[in-house]
Amino acid sequence: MKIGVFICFCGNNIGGYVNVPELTDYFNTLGDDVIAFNTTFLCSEIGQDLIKDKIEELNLDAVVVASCSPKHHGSIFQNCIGEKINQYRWEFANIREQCAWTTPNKKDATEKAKAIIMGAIEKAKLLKDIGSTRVPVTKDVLIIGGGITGMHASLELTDKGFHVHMVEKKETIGGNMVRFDRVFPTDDCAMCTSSPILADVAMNKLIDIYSLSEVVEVKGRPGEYKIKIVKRPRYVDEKKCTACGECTSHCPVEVWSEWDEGMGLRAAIFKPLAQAVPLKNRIERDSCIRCGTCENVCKAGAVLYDDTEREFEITVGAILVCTGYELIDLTNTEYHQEHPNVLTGFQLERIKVPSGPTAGEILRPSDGKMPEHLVFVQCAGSRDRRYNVYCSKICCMYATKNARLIKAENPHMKISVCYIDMRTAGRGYEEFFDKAREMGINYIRGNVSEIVPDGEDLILKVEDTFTSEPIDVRADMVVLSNGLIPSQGTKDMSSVIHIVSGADKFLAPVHVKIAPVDTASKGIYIAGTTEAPKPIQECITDAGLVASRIATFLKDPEIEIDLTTSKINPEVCIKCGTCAENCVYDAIETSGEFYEVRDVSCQACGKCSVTCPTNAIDLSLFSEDQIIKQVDGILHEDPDAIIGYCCYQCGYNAADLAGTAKANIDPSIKVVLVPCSGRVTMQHMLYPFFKGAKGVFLAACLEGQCHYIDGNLQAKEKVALSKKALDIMGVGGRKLNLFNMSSAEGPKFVAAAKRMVEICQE
Amino acid sequence: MVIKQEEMDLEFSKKLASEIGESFQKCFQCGTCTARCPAGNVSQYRVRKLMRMAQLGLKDKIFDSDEIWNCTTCSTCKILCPWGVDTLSTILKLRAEAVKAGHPLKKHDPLVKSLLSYDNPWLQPRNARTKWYKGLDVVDLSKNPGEADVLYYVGCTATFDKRLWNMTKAVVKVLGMAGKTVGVLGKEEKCCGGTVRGVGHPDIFRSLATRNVEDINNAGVDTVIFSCPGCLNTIMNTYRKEEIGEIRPKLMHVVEYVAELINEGKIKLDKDVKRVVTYHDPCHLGKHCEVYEPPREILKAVPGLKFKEMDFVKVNSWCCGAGGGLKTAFPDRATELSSNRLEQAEKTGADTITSACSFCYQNLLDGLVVRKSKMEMKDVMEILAEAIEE
Repeated sequence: MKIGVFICFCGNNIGGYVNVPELTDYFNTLGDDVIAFNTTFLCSEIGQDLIKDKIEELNLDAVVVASCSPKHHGSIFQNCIGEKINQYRWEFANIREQCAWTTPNKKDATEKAKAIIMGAIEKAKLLKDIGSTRVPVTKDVLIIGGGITGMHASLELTDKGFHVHMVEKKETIGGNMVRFDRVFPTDDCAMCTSSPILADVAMNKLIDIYSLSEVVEVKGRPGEYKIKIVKRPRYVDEKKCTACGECTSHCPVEVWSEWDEGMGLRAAIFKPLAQAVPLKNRIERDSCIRCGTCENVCKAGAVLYDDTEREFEITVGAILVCTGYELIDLTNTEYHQEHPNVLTGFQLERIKVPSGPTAGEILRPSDGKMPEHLVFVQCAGSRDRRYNVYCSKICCMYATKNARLIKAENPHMKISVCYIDMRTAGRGYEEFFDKAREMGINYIRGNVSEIVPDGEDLILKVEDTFTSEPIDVRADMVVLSNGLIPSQGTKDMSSVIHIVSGADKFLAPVHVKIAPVDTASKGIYIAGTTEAPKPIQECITDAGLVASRIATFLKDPEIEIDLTTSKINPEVCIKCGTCAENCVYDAIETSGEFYEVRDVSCQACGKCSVTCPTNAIDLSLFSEDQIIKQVDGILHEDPDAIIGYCCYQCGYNAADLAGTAKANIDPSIKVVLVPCSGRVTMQHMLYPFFKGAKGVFLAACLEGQCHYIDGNLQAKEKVALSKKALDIMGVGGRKLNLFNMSSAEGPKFVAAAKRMVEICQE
Repeated sequence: MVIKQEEMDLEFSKKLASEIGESFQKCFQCGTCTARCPAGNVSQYRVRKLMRMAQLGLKDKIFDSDEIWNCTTCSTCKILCPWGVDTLSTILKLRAEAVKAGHPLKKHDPLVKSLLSYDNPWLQPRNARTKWYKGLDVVDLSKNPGEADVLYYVGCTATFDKRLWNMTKAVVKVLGMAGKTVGVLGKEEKCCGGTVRGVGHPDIFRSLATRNVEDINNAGVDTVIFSCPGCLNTIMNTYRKEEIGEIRPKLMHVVEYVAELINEGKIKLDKDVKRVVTYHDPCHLGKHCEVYEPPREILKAVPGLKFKEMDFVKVNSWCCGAGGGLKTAFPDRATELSSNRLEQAEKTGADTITSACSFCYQNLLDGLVVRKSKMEMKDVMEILAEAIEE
């Protein structure tokens, strides 16, 4: 096995801190199978040519690139090497971010670089060709949730020629937007804006809409997901119903309408809005008294009292979850949402709609009088550790919108808004807020501490923080700007499809900044308010982006997958099924006779190999032995090292960031990259100690934020066990630690490294 | 007036942050605290503004005004704060810093001197502690450790204020009916130190606390009961927070102890009490010790009694204004607050306002006089005593 080592000066970035010529000479003395070179900028065309020429000239089997972080130029080197040999026959040695920039003493830095490169050489010796495979792709897309995001995405996708299956929990698509009166910052009528979209979706032959339906199971692989859907009974034959409304007008039942948020009444057989899609009536069975009137008056014979729940399966290539948000319920809190004259933002929208229960008049529910003083309460359930700590983003604008519209129609009405901070960033937003003040809307800068019911009126306890005076604001109607929380559907999907959610329970993208609609699972996407509270225009932006992402994923009849995945050795496998049970991606299938990794589903996190009782399953890249060899190499040069296994998504990034910030890190700290902390076996944790290492640590994602869902929890468990083993062995379990950090937390890595050095010196 | 850069003592602010914790820096000035601050309703005291001044390190400005002395330590601000800012610790810390810097509140001087000389804030001789139980069957545990079922830690206020003796006697009577012998520390009982800590003297507090831990542990009982939630909160919570020392017996308010006895059927209530009663939650029993239900259970168990809740109860209750040294410093403000609370009580149509706190008792009594209210002030234990046949 012949290995070429290419060491980069990176101008002065490495050359200024590390003695590159000394390193080059050193690695040229190791023997014939290691040959070292150096150059000023390895990533430049000259540098890349040097690598390619030497591979050819010397018949190199593998390459070690000693330069910057692989997160920086990794793909450049992979492509360059891939032109000559298999693109996975290279290993990097990060001697810039994790050595040169964190080690001020040149001698120390040079020694550290030596150990890092030696680790890479040892690992490179075990590198093998990694091939790829192609699997067919179903060109159908499942969109869960028929709100504004789902509708837009479905039209974008059908325009590109894809077939869309839209699953909607309610009786009609449209989501929350079609229940609003007007939308900011243009004050457009919400229905006028969305009804053409509803119509387009309804008439589109490439879209199948399943209303009153829910996804209950997702199986299969990216490109070919099997979806189980349950459709609840409508008790009305969708094929026969013409939505003429005859049944509704004869139905004797009158109950509070959910669609109108309890502000108006509905019959037991109804359609929620005139533009409903599908345009069909439904019977809500809990309120139906089964009198038979509708059946008698329906000339189409569409009433189906004995309709039943139906379960069916579809196959799709990709899934978009856009199940949206709902408002936080503040009933029986200091906001007294249960008081008839305390309305939620949604309830106000329903009474403002011209077709709504009060025909658009602002009348307070207790006595139907027009309020004299209407007060909006901001941050109701937001920016508050007792409810949601996050800002709900849209409330400043939605309250201002309603305040302006009501003021314009009722100039005599006194309108106040109590707020903590007005957040009106966006095109035309500040101007929108400016106009509201000009119109005489009274903004009080202070959080409402409590709403005190006083008969039909309400007294709001608030400090006007500008004058430092506590005020008892008397209002005869209050509108809460309830904060946004993930809808029940969003929360359900998190478990049905295994999508990570954040501490706020919204579904989390793989990267909030640069991959905002992708999830950790290939072929599964999120968009709109499923991800976070956001205004309608951002939902539409999301919809366009996600349609493009899905189209890219499904554009070819087959998708190519690099086989860096796990492999099962059938000769050692005892068919216990532990790996299959432990895999959150359902990537391990069994025919009953043997277990097999479904490469297309496998995310190569390596968690399976850690729990396999017979070591029958291992990753192709980052294999058990490769990692051990890398540790060997490091300890060969520096037997007193502290080995830090850093996960690809967070720990390693944090370590790079510490370097970018030129933080001082003890040279004994040596980072070993792993895909996920859940990939680190107990052998990885214990072995370095046998070889003299001073300490071992893992740098993993924050709990609840593992990019492979729960790898860091498995790591936590294994670290606890290994600590016990180290205690028994007399080494001391305290020398092995797990640190959780986000990819942005460089200082946390620095602190972890410092702590490890302290522990190991005790 | 322009604030000069040098007036902003950021070292002072940093010191507060390190002692109070990270929440100190989190205040974002929303005003939730001020809007519901009872003291702020009757004075120029603004919790929010004080927090900002503390963050900016404007210590001279803080010490020069009397703002910090208005707080009743009711804890409403801390409970309501959206970010969990420890406002209460900040205020207590500022008071201690003010005293250290030579800015104590003059009106607190007699209280502090009395504590140093007599171990009580009321300028009373130690011997006077035994007066209230003359003729009652009460054991002095400082002389005969272990000779009683419970230690009754009476607290200075109920010990020296004759108007409260009917309450302390009711405690002995009720427990006697349940077959429990009551022990006290007699003239050896000392102030718990809560008030003196509250007005900025942590060192005097520490000395009292250390001696109290010893006395309580030496009493030879399993349970200590309190009439005064201020004493209970101080000895149960503050001693632990300040790491004074371990207290072996179980500590509880007398209403908790008695509610248990009633549940176990050990106290017979056979006399109708023809009263319409409402209950005022003492801040130090409710918000600080989270005891809300036992007093209500007791009142509801009394035959013939009609119980009415006020609009603001339990964690949402309004402070009567007695705590935090406000009553000593600004008695008129304290009475105004109790009068406000009584107005809420009157709304219920009750003829009797009850509570379970010596401080609230005093201040609500004063409030009744100022309001010329027709309601009567009774401790929960007094009501209970009325329901027991002699």
